[in-house]
Amino acid sequence: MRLEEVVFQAIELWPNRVAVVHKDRSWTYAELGDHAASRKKRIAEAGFSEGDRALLWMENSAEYIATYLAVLGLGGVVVSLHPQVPASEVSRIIRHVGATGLVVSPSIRQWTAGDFDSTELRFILKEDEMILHDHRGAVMKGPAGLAQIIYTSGSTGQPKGVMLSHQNLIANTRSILAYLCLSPEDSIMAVLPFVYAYGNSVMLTHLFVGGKIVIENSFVYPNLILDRMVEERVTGFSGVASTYAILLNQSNLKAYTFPALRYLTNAGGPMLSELLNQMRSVFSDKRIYLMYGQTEAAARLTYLPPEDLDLKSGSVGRPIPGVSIKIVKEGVEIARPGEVGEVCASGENIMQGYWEDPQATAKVLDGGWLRTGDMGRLDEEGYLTLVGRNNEMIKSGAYRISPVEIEEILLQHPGVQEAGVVGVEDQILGEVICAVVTLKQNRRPTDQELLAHCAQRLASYKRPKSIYLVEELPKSPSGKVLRQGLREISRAALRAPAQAIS
Amino acid sequence: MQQIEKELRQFVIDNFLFGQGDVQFKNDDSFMERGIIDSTGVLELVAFLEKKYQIKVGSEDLIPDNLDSITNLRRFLENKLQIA
Repeated sequence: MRLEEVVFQAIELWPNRVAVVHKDRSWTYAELGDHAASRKKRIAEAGFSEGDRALLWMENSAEYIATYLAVLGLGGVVVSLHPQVPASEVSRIIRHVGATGLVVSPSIRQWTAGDFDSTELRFILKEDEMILHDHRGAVMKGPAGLAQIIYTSGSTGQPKGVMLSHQNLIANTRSILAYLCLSPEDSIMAVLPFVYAYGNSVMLTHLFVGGKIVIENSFVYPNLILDRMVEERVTGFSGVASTYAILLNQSNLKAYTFPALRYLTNAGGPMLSELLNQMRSVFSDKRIYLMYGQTEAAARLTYLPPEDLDLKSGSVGRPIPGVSIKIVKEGVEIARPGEVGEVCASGENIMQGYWEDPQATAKVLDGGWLRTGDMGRLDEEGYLTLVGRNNEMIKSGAYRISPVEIEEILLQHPGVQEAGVVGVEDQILGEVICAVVTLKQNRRPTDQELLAHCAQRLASYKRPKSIYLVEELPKSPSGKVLRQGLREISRAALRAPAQAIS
Repeated sequence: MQQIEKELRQFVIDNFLFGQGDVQFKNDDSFMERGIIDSTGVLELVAFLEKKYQIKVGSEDLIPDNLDSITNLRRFLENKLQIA
């Protein structure tokens, strides 16, 4: 069965139930089906067909869901990008994935049609406006059964396209439905971007069961989100650790009650015990699920049943139905309970590979097992505890960010000699991005100029919070930049604002 | 009140627009809709208001009507400073 067929079953079963609420609009499942059919017709007329890739550069919206279903309904592959990604990066991804269609939310303004002249797009669709291009060359088809390609940052810099099949996504969605016990009576306050695996899963789980998706795209004023949760009587809320930190520190959360709310989920990174304790105190009568996963796993791998929060404190739980976890030491040997090694996973949810990157794929897929790159241990009962990462990725808010990608952007500035980027601890975001930079003799940009340089080239969540100018980066005797040294410079500067060293 | 608006604009330009005073935004423009401020930016804005104007901003005050444009900020400050 295909992903959109499962959703169309829900549309047939529950046509009059509300599917999605966004701002002052709501669509029933029947209306969602109609909008998806209409969009499908439009993009088919523009030349989109089976196996083609469509890039959805869209905010969370009813139109996003309709477009998602339309693309899949034509046998196409959905490739989604965050609204804050700059046009230059969108263009690069379009070329990388060979997309023939681009659909853009009207709220995204930082582009012109000319930004995509170097691509082979056949159409750009923005609301009802269709721009057609005359590219009619053969389109390379990807692997059979592909539904989505989700771009995720890797430690080597450029994001990689995770290929997820219909079966990957259906298996993972059904597994999550089983342990969350979702039903048509459920509704979710959706604040996580649908373009990433966690938000994608939030969307799919509710579409599968005829639940309601209430969309709020801005977390700038969390009190608005809380008002909406009460007004729409949502039964569930999904966030990452920084979401909950913001709610606790920047909203009037403690003044609210949520009589309809049944559960909350956390994934996308660990939740510190202090934060979890505060959450449990505020939401004392709600079920809290801690979860772990990876885009490469479509995305869920483990969950901690709420009743085990005390007994298995610090754990991210046991494998979800259909998933197996093993810990591997030194790349080969299976670890015994309690021993630390790399977390590996298998199941129907594991990706097909990275788009057009067999080498990177071969590094992580091995005999049906996914090497996650995370370090952890299993206890005697099979509960997983993570003990760290074996790469240098920064986890800031809901995002996984490659420091190398930001370093490369900084090095593009003519005044920058060397750049080192690290994550430094932050109470709200988990980590904030800091850059330490040396300058060339002939060009001496200020830190503000370099921040502006990054702002023009990076999505907002990838931009450094601070840039520190130094005479020399900390290095080992062999010349390797020491990230711990960069962190120390950044921490010291955050405590007492640094001055540029001229 | 023009002085307050000038101070507020300069804070926004210095802290969220990297000192680029040529980025155009009107006093009534929504920071949220223009993408000028994100959720951690609100914390920086609140810290600035409390320090500069010696007011207390409560968690119930963190709503767009109070904070989401230069005009809204000015009105919010007028109320707070009258009460103080």
